[in-house]
Amino acid sequence: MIKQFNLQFIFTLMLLCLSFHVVAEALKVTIVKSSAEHKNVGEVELASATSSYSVIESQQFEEKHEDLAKLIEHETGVQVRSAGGQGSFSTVSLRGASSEQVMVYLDGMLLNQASGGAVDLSLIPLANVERIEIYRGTVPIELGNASMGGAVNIISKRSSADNMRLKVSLGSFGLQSYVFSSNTGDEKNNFLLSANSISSDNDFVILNDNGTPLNPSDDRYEPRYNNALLQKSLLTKWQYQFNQNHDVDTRFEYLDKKKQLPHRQNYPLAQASFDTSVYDFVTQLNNRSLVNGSMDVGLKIFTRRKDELFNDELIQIGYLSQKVNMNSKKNGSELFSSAKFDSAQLKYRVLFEDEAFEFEDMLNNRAYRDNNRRLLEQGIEYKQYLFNEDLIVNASLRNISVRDRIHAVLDVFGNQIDIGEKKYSESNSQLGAKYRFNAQSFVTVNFADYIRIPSFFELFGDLGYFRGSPDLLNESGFNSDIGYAYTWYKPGSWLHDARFYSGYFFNRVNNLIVRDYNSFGVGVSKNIADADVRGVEFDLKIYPGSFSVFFNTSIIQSVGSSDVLAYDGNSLPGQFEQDYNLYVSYEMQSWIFSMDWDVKKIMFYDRANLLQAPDVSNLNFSILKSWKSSSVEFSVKNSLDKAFMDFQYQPAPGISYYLTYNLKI
Amino acid sequence: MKIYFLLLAVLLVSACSNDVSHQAVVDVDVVVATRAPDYSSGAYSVINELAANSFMATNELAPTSSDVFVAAYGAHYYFFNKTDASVTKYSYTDATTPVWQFSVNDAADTGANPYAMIFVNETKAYILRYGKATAWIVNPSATIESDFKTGELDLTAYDDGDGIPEMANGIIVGNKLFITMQRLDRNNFWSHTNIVYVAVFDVTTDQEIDTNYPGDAVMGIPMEIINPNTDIAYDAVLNKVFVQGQGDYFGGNYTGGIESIDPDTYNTLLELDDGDQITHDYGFISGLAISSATRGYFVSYVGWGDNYLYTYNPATGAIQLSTVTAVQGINIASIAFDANGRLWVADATNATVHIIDAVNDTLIDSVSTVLSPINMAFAQ
Repeated sequence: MIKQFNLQFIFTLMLLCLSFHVVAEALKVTIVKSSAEHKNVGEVELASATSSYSVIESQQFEEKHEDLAKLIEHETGVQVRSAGGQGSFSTVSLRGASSEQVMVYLDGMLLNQASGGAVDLSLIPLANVERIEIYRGTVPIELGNASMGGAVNIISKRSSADNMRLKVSLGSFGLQSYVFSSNTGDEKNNFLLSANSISSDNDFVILNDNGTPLNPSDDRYEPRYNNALLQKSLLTKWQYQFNQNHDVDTRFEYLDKKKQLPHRQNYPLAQASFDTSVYDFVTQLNNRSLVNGSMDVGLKIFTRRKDELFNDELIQIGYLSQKVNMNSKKNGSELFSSAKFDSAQLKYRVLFEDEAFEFEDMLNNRAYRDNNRRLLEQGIEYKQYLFNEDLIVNASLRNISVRDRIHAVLDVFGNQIDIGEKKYSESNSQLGAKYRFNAQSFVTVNFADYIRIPSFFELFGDLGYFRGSPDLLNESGFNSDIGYAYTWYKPGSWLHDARFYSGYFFNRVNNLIVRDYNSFGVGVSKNIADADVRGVEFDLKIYPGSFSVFFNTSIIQSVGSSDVLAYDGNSLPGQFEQDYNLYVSYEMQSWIFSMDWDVKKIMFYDRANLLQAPDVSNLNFSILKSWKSSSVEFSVKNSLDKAFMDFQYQPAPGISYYLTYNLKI
Repeated sequence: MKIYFLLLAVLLVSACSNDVSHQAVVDVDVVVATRAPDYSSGAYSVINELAANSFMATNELAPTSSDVFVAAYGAHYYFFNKTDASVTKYSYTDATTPVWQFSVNDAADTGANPYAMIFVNETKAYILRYGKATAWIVNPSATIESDFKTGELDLTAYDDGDGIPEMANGIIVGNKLFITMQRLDRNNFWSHTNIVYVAVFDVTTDQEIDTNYPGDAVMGIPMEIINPNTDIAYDAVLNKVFVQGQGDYFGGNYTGGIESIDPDTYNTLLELDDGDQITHDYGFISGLAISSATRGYFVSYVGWGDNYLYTYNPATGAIQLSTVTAVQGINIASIAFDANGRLWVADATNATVHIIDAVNDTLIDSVSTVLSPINMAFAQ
């Protein structure tokens, strides 16, 4: 059934994209090929940013079979956890922060939901991505509602030079991935249409220990059951240039994902599923060079709707029959302005968001509505350039005001949940500096304090099994880091290019929110822990001859402190203490041979540090052959066929093979 | 020089707290199932009585996922993982080396969710499987998995419409096995709307005994209390089986209490009514332990993390708040008497087990388990 829909969708989209391109080509008057990427006002100016950051450009992945989670985990200080298989739930952690503390943005719009939980990276198709910016530690003022965990900002595909692109990937476990995109434009307009579909059976072989890890006699190898994926997305963008200084950029994106959920013990008759659909609309008006060319102003309006359907009617992965529909709707607007003076820059941002969350129990025809969060955030940054711009100092201040409201509802047991309204306001500050010693090297230092506002779930509970904790304090944190970077560029030399970065960070988090349960399984959120997280990062990229060699490592030490004896003095769960990434590629004429090796050591699944995850040694190979307008890549993932498990009881696939054909016209 | 080393050794031993982790453990007296407060992991602790009323614990043994409990019989104890539906047998003389580990799911099945193990003797026991409609008859002395399960008790007649009767606990009195069944509706968020039954089986034939309740379509005993979720006890002097019922504490309906069953006539008597929404002196009754006709305790659930311990005289019904302040206003996970008549209280708030002299209702000792204690099992 999934494959049948997939093929129909693919052929429909092929036709759509082709038609779009043909029509657009016929209508345009002149063809203008823009070489510079269009940037909206309010996007981070990386050159003057003092934060520790990494950038991944689309050229690094657009010809390969990759997903967002696996792509970014090769970056310094980034760890990703996936529930196992293509399209599975995937979260990101930066510098030891929990995934709930990491803010993920799409074109500057926050994807983290007020209802709670981390952002699922599998809901962001890499085919629709132009660039990924990863900010570790401190977060630029351009990104709103920042938290102590850093930020990942995903920039959607940009309209560029006229082209059509087709990308087909086939691989192990029934993987089929199709991407079609069409770019076209004229003097005033740029259009982009991108559609993609990905499906996989995800029936990789696992070792089922039958729930008896100490008894190997009942173990068996079997395929992962009920783990299939079908995901489709459509991205349309239109950029209209009024004149040189005024333009509007509009994006509409739709995603539909159907994911089966495997049973913890791989029950073959499991039928549980989790389906998601997302609608995104963003439009931004950019006004540049106002007030004698010194000021840029951007106004953004956005809306996002996310519908999730969790179905476990047959009680196969949980303990009670559930079919629940969860909807969240977010509307908002943001104004960003940047003014440049002689040797200074002033930035101001104001963000308003209104987010509503609804929950519907479809088995018992009960609906619970009117969970609502309104947020107003203002941020201001002053940036001073000194000593011929060798020194950049920036200071910023954010203030966030939040009003949370839950209307009176009945819980599933018939108890009335009291009307809850909570208002609060917090400010946080940030100080950063970047000093350039010379054209090749610079040092950065950053200090910032942040908060994480508790989610609806943590504040108000759910419908009976998890109680609300309305007096919960915000998590608060202090981040600091210092880093040194050096670049070497000597074209014509054997070692023609090299980049080096080394840094140290120290973060303190207070009032960590942790779930506590009584003996009957009723839970409540509490502020019961603090933590110190410190670490070192090292990143080296060298380009000797036809080789590219990248190596990065991140060593993290986290120590929790708590009145709860079971947690006190322990490492924070869900983070590997050691992370090493090595990438080597060799380019020979039109061939690129590459390998990447990811090694991770020492992670505990649990806060009591009793359950240690298996260490990771993930070795991947790839061969890419390019022609003028096409390429073919063959890749082998997890070539050592190791058994990884980022989340307990959620095994990842073993060795797998992929073939990708990429055509650009 | 030898004296100095001896002195140093004595100093080191005396400086040790009563919480030692990860050393070789022998001569176990009490096993305590434990879990992390956030349910992210579980383990067990063993507590040794070094001298009269002086205890030492070894904690965080056999770490696993969190939904665990222990049972014991003879020289062995059994560590259950409810989520994995597994049971691991250990000897009290060696708490770190498992004798065996078996599944309590049928082949290619899942979701058994074991809740209790009730022993007839060394070669026969019953495992109550909350997630299924059948309980297993097992041989605890089996050495291979294929010999472990020897039969089943069929409780499908008590299905409340969601496929399972939610069998929760049991006790053997004479030749009879009494099994409590909650009969909650798992298709409606475990609502507490169905009559509770106690099924009675002959342990020599494994056949259900018809208790002959008039007008009842099933053979078991209908109860007045709702939600028997923890304890069942028997006193030979009074010749009564006492069943605890917590009532509908999610919905705030006081439909529980302590109800007794005459094991011969199967007549029931509501010994303690937990009251109603206006009057409920003892909150919800969430735990029960009885050591004699005149001595027992029960747990009063007033709110989340706010439980209280009361003394209870089963013969007279007299109730008094325990004088042990350490066990008041906390999350009491379970209570149980040991063979010496001392009451053990699992304090999940402070990750501690308290031992109480039930004669004087005074605190003997408190032992840290590091993780939150769930239930206790005693060497015999």
